[in-house]
Amino acid sequence: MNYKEMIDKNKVKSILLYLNDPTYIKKTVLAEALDVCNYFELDYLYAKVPSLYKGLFSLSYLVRKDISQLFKTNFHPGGNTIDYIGKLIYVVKRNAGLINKYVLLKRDIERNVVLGNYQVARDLITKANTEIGRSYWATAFEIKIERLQHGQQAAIELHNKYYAANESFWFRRFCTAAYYTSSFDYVTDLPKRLYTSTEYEYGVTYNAIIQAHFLAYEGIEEGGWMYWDINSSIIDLYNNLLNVLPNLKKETYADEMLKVLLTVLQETISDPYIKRLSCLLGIENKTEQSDARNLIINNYLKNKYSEVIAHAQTYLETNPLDAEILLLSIKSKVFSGDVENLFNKNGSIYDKIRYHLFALFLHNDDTTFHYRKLKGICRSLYESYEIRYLYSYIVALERKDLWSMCNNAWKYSNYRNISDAVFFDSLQDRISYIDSLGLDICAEELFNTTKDKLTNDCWELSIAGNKGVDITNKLIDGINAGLVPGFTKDAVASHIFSYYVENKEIEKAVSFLVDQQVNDYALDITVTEEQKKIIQDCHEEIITSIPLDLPIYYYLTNADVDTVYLAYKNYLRSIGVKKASEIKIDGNEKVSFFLTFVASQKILTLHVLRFKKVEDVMNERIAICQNLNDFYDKKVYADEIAGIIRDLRILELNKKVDDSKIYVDIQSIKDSDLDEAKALFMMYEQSSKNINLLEENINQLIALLAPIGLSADVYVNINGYNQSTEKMKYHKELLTKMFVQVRDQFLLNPKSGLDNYLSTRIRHGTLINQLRNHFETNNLITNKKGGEYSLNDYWITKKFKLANNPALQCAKRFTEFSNRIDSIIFEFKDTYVQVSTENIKDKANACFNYDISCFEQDINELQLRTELNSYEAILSEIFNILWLHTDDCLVIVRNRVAHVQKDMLEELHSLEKDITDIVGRTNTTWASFHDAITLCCNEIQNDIEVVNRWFNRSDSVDFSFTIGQVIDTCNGFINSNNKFRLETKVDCQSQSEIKGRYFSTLYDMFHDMLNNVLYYEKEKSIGGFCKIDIMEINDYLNIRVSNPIDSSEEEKLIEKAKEINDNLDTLFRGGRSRTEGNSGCIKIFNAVHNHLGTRSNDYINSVENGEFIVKISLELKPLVV
Amino acid sequence: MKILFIEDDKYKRESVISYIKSLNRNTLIDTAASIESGVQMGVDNLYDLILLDMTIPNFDISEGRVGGQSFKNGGEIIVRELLDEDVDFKCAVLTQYETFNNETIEQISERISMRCEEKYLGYIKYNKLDEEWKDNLKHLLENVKNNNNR
Repeated sequence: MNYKEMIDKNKVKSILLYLNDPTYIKKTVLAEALDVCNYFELDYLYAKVPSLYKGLFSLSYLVRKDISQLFKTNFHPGGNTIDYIGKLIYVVKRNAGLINKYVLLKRDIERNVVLGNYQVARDLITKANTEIGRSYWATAFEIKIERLQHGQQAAIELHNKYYAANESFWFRRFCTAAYYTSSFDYVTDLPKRLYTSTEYEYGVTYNAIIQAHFLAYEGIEEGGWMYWDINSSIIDLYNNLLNVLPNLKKETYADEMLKVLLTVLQETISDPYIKRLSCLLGIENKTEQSDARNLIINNYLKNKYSEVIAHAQTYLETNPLDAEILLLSIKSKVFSGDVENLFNKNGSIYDKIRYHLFALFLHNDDTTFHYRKLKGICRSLYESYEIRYLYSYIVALERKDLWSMCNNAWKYSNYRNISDAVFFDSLQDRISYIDSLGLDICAEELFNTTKDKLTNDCWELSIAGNKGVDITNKLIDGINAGLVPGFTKDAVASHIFSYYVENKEIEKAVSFLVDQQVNDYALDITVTEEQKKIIQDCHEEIITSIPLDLPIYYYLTNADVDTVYLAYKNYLRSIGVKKASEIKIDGNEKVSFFLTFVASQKILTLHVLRFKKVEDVMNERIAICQNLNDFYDKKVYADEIAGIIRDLRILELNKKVDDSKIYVDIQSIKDSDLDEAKALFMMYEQSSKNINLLEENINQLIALLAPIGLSADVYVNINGYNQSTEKMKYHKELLTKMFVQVRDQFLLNPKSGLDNYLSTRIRHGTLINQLRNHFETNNLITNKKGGEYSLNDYWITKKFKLANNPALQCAKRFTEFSNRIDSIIFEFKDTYVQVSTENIKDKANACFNYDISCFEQDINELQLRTELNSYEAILSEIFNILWLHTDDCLVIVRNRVAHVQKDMLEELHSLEKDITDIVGRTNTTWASFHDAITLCCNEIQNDIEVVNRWFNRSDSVDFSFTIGQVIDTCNGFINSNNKFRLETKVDCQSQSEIKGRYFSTLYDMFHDMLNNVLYYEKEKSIGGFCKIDIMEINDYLNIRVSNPIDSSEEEKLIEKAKEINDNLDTLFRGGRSRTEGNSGCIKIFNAVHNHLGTRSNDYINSVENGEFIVKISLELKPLVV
Repeated sequence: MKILFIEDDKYKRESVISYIKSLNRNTLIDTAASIESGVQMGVDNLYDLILLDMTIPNFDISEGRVGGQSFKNGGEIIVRELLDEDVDFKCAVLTQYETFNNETIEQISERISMRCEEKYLGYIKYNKLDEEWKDNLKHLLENVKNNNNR
């Protein structure tokens, strides 16, 4: 190629004329030159420009003295890819001295960062900033080091400082990207955060720039964005050039001009990366290979692993970022049988990399974690070419495709490696390249399919491209003999599986996968959806021949639960057992795997012809685990059994919670609160005696007068009978008064009465949560904020995407719906689930109506029952009457519940109709709205069933429980009945078995506390956990429940806690427990001091260190069994 | 005609039963409200038609709250179980839902049809606000009756 032909001298001349014309702005002339000239013209022009303009034409402005100068210029040169590369190389050549200095500094900085020498790295960056100029590369590195050294907050502050220092759009975007990518925990939505919509005018270019600079691991493509760094800095421009070079299109590499330009580059810049690239492109035939490095590779190829480890250790001390040698040394550790991971996972980045690589190659545990960690580190340090090499290897390994394992390796690394050969298309070129490395390897040997053994890295497959049957058979033999190393095992096994499926050997494919996976649970064989379908289509053909393998295969490949279930059932049938617990365990690994993983509760629950309820399923699983534990004696089985027993207990306790809401503590009332009733009884008893005496006298009179033929009627009528009626009236009045006394205690005793339990167990949050929950989870109702229902954003904006009038109409209708549903619930709670008597008249519709008139007949009958001649007997009968009446009331409530259900369902149907009218059925999301309504209708019916169960009488107390079970039950209830999840951290150190009669009280107590936390968190969204700590100290059960609070409210809450503590006793004695406006504190007070034992119990609220804390201390002795 | 109607929604159940009875008061209708009771009745008895809801719990709700774990494709699970148990049956789906775990009723129906072949008579979309389901159900019942008479 004649370069002179590439120069349009007239063009150059005209630019020079402009340059010498004082009317032209010189920067404009430079912009014109950059736009229209190719590399050779720019070079020629530079030689011609007067020395006064040499600086300008070297683009010396790119040596930025201050951060604020980055992106201050706005050059937009035109051209194609080669033109851009030429222009960038022109700039690099003009600033070669600085860039050569940068290349050395960059390697040193990266090495020190990786080794954790952050201060040294900072000093070197400062040197680069001072001597080469500011760059966003250095800015990003500084933010990264700040985060590594001083944490996230420090990184944010540094980011803010730099962000404020430069107003340019691009710098600020880069600054933000630098902050995000400074984290090793890769933010999964990072691309979403950094990219913009391609619908915008410059969206594509914008994203390409962001990608090349901060998300390069996603791949880079050549394009018009490449000139962008001509406006940033000299360092950034050079980095970007290197980003572009390995990512060009094939035809661009074939362009002779590119080779010419790269020749210029490699002659000018002393960068090993460019040297290696030049070597691959045939620009340079030979590069020097380090003897120390080659020695390590040779030893590895000869399986001399201990020598690799020894030499690599020394070599890596000075070259920790030689990724290939690092990989070989870690692999050698695995091959030499080292199984102890002594690398420090919390040490420097270099330590972390080695720790996770070793764990990954050992392949003993779930590799996903190590892949994630390594990828996170590599993405964050992607500026380093060696890190890029490491990343490409990890990603290829994770992809598990043996034939493309090395496809991208040639793009990275400063060193020449065997895997670089993939760059070449022809076999001969690949062999020649490997031969040129000067290793003790006959490259041709790699390409020989008949040789007995594969290299440990399976280079034959990825570099030589051997894909024949011979190779597959060798792999099968290798994997069966346990010769395939852990780090390629996923890929090898995936290939063999695919090979069987492709060759329609379905049985072999399934059995191979199952055999391998059962023996190595960490193994991860890729099964594509297409392969799954092929196997599923052959289900009928293979189900009889491999009855045990098939359910395991379905389980391992995440098949539908019913598919796994039917295969499970088929296996049971094939061996003639009815239940999995009947299978005899004899050490067969597959059978054990089947029982451990396939015969899970999820599968057993579908075996409905064997197991009729959830408890049956749980007991079957316990039996399976018991059998496994008997044979293998493994902790995992014992733990599962313990877990299921715990769940069974919670299931049982859940039912108790539902069934024990209607309660009156009769014994407690009898013991302490019936003095007045007793006094009335004594008067009543006296009155009975008087009446009896009168009757006796009349009878005697009749007996005396009868023999002489006189009737006593007239005497009785005139003198005695009236008196008797009066006395009878008085007698009944006393009985009625006593009845009322007992009734009032039964209903309104603040500690033990029905209304207390209705309030605590039903009205206080529970009912609202139960009935409102599914409307909320289906996003059909919203909550109130500032007294108004918030907008139903979910359906109106997110789903229906409505605007203008339809949006307003929908908003109005949804608000109306929220209002109506709440009205139904609150009306039920406040009007119907209430107690009324002739003295409590404000609850006219109360279902629990105990007006004395209801008991007229009962009192009359009671008065006539002469056998009830003791206080205990009559009291017992009164309670009996009250309970029977309560049963009638419960029927009324349940009828009312049915009304609530009917009203709610009607509201739902009406909402569906109205919204459908506005939105139209053609709206793409109408179906999901319809489904939400249907689901809600269904769930509401289940909720109503639950609520109905609450309104039944039960007094079963014959059981015991632990405080941990109360917390689990309560937590489970709250989280299954609230869209908003309460996050708890429980540390329970108590195992005491507590008497069943205290269960409901303790449950109510925790329910109130957790409910308060939930509501607070719902409103304030503080984040953090509600901590529950339980300890047994000196025969006391110490309960501590705490949750973080809004710091701005701390003082207010301190006051409030103090006020509550001071007033609890007064409020309680004043009967204020019937109101629900005290956050349940009075109820907790009541529970602690009156229901749970002794005077020495304690309950206190406080605010400390940004947390609201409830401390309860209960004497254990009276509570425990 | 003897029908097994597997449906856990009490209101839908009453509405459908009432409609079937209005067509022919002599129709015998057994009901089940879960996969468990549905499969058991399907195995124990012979029905001219099994009318299935698609989303149902595995156990009857009265067995406790956990029993009410709902399966989006519960109807399909019942069909597969009956096929596995070699039960002679004819079935149709009567559902209120449009989608099931990102699948449409059409997709599920196609799969059931492939598994059941002539045993499956199709699906009907039930909607309280739209009475079209009644015509479809009537048509379905007539088909079953005509086939029985042949």
